[in-house]
Amino acid sequence: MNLNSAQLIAMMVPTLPLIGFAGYLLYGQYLKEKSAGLLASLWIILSFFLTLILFFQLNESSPAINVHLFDWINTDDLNIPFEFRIDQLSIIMMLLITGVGSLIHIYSTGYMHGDEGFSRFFAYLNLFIFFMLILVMANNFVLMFAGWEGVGLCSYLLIGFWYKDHENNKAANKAFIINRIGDLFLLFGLFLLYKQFGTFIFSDLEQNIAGSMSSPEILTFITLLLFIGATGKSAQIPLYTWLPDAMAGPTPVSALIHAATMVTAGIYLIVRSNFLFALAPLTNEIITFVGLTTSIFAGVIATKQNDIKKILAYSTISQLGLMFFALGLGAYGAAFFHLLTHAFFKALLFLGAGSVIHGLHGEQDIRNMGNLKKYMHYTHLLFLIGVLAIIALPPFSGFYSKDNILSLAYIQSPIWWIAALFAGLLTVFYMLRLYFVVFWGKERMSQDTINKIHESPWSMLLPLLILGILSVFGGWINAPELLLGNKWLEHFISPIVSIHPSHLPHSTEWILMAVSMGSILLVAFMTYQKYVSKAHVPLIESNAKDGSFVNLIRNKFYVDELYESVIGKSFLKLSQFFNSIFENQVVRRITDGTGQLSLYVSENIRKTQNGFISYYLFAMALGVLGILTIFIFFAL
Amino acid sequence: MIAMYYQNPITITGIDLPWIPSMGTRFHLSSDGVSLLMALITNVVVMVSMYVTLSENKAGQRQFYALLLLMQTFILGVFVAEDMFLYYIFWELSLIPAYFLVLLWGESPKIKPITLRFFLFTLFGSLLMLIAIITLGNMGEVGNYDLSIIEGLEIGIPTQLLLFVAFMVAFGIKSPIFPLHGWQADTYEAAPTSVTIILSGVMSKMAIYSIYKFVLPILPDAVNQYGSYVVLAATFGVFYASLLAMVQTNIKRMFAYVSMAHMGIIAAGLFPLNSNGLHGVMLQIAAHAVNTCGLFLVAHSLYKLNGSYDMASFGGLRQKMPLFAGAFLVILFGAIGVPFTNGFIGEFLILNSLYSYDVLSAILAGSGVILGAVYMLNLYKRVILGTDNKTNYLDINDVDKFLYLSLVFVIIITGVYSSWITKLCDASIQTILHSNYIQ
Repeated sequence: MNLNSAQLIAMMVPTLPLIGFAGYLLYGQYLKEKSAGLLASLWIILSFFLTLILFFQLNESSPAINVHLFDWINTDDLNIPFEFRIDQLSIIMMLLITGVGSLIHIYSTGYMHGDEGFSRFFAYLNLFIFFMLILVMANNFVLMFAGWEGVGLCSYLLIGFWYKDHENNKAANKAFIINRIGDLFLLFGLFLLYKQFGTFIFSDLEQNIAGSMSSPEILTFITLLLFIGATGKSAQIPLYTWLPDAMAGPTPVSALIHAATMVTAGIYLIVRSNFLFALAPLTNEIITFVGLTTSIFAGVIATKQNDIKKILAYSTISQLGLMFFALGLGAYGAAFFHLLTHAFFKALLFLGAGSVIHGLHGEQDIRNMGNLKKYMHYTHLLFLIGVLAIIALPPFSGFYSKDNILSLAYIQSPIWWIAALFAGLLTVFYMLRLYFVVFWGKERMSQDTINKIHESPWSMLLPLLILGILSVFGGWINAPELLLGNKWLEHFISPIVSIHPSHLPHSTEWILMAVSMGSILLVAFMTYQKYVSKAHVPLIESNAKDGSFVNLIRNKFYVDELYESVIGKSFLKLSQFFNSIFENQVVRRITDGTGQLSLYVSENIRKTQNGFISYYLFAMALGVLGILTIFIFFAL
Repeated sequence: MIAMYYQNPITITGIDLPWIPSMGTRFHLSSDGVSLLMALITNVVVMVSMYVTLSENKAGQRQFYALLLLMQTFILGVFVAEDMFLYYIFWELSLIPAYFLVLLWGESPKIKPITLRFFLFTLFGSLLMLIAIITLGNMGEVGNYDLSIIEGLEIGIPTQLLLFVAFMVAFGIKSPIFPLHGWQADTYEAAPTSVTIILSGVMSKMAIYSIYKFVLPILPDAVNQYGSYVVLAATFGVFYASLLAMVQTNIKRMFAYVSMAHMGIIAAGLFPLNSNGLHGVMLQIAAHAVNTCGLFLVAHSLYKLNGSYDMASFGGLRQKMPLFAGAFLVILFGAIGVPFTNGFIGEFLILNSLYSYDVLSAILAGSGVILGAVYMLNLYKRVILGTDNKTNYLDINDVDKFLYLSLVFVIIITGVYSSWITKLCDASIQTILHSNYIQ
């Protein structure tokens, strides 16, 4: 194994977080809180700088760096190497993971301060970064799948981090199990892929597919299976229900895993295998439809939630839906761009929410907040930046990426454009509702709580600040010509994703942009009216007078209950049937049947041993006769 | 011996002596890579079992050890016998110590009917196998039971079918494969844990090994034509056993069904008859042996805490026993096949080859992947997580610690670097495939 310097660096990037994790197992118990947190963060920061070095070695035309470590699975027919492939797509993901990862590690040193599981928390975070890096660096589907399941595992561990409360454990189990359902579909998709094309390695697949004339039906089927896998990890309909519950984990986890990185793995999967999806138009239509539906559906639910983290969770589902919508339209670059900006501002929002929760000593219900701008200046300002970015006001980053998706949607069909704009307006409404209710209006906390409100320490504010800067300026990496940019990102990843030809006349683009800006401002104004001028506070559920539809939304359309009663119950019924009836009636009979058979036979044989000499003599004579007959028969 | 094999992958012939000349049987022992793997597993599992015995502190320890060692000898004999008659003798003999171990040291008031059922049902299968072996042995010119000669026989398809049924019933009982598992859960639950470890860790593999070693090369036509039925039964058994595992409240009984679910996947992996499937089977055999050891060891550790296998009597152990909780978690992930644990690669390979063989079977087997996560995580939640309710326990002692850490080490090493098993088995697998199935 001779590696050149770039390969060595690439190998070190995921190794460092793994060392961090292993280190915890070895000496974690001897470390003080401060040094444990610092050390864990240091591994990731180091990893980030190594990634930066790699990044500067790549430009849009350089070949991928391959790092072959060893053969992971090796049978006669199949060889799956433990091999990394660092190309333009994976390097951006690596930067995102280690970059946002570093910030969230630093933030966590403040947020988790005083928790009894402090160093365990950092060990899990380190392990998560390791698996996430494996996911994006793998050069084949199986290794990617290993990272894919690995991040799910860490997500399980971190959602249930406060394991003493069974609510958290339930949420953790739910996340893992629903993800496993998706994973099984993904796995079957991979099996079919292997059956058709005989390899799991991305580059070989791309060649084999180009050279083969496989039927579109099969490709549709493969891509659909992969997509269902993606809906599990990226929380889309029908497998989204785990993500809101996953908010049971500590807030930095929600920011890192359930907003910025892991949940975008489904997007990454499709961007990575865009050479497959490009050949399956039916799948793309389904993806567009599912993405858009999810986006609107989750947006509607978010408008009636009162838990600050749940609102952000539904918002994440909604934004991910928008990315899938773009993927389905073939706008891989735009979807990937939105993935990045979303990672910045959603991490910012989650960490901001964490700062609020921290300052209020664990309060998460927005009805018990209010006028926080008076008490937490920096948090307020940075949270506001996040809100402005997500509702896509210029010049914040969300504006660039959403506008990109919208204008590409318009090229396909104005109806898509209207629907996507509607999803965006829902975002404007629920995010501003959240913002106004939390930071404006009157204080609704108890006096006791008000006295104890404090601004967060610098270790939490610094990451917020950096994310705030990224949320403001991050959009420039892919600004269109119209806004004096050069679409750097799409050009950079063009070796993996060919550039989407988009040519709207500039005048149309201006008009579209004006319409969407106008409607955003209109909705923003209405929200301001409702929640600030009229100081409306969301009602407590019990005295809700609204029509039944509102209650339906409030109860998240009863999807959880539906799954529980239809799928969960029927499996339980089947288990109980097998356990109490089938096992006893059928299986037991098969088992005992042989015993009874032998009893029956021996009973009958016993009857021949009846003690009469004459009977024995008769039998003996018969026997002799029989033997003689046989001898004679054979002799002849 | 394994080290020797890596350097020079040939079949090692140990002993080859005439034994009962009038019947043409020979005392012929030899081993290839697969036999070596089996022998390794047997020895490791018996070691763990011995350790469990040590801490069980039963009456009549000496007899207990003697029977365990006797059983080990016979099981090893099964894995190296080249003569089918000799193989049968070992197979049958290994049952006898198992019977007495369960009967005399069993942990259930209903131990007599349970062991009787276990003994009679297994014996019934063995008798069918004996008939099949005698038929095979007398097919040649002279009565000869040597595998190399039997493999060379040309057997008509109807005869092959009959022999196939006889063998599969015998092995289906031992493994067990649905619906022949009626003896298993009761026996695993009632047997002393040290014996359960051997029953599930090694004796169940005897059946898989035997199908691999005898049925595949001797009856290729029957395997080709009727293997799919076995696969369907085995994979349905995966689904079935997983569902059963979900509703058990006794931890040991639950692990019995977990073991059955895994054995179903392994048995199914034999019949697609390709290199991926068979390598998957071998990897999974090794993984299952380690994981099942781990699981029953966990059950044993729990039993030591308060003398119960009932899930409801535990809770919140995580707080007092972090090491135990951590080791259990890794074993659990190995058992449900998370990547980078030993359970993943074998399962992946088997499912992959099953998928090309028969999609329905792959789906049934795949259901185990999801249901496995359901029942295992629920168990973990109920026993380990939550708040500490009534316990005042100390974490595992140093010897336990060493044992658990070794298991965890093996689980992860094999999950990352599996080639040590595939290299060991490759020659044997290729021989069987190329001489019978791939033209």
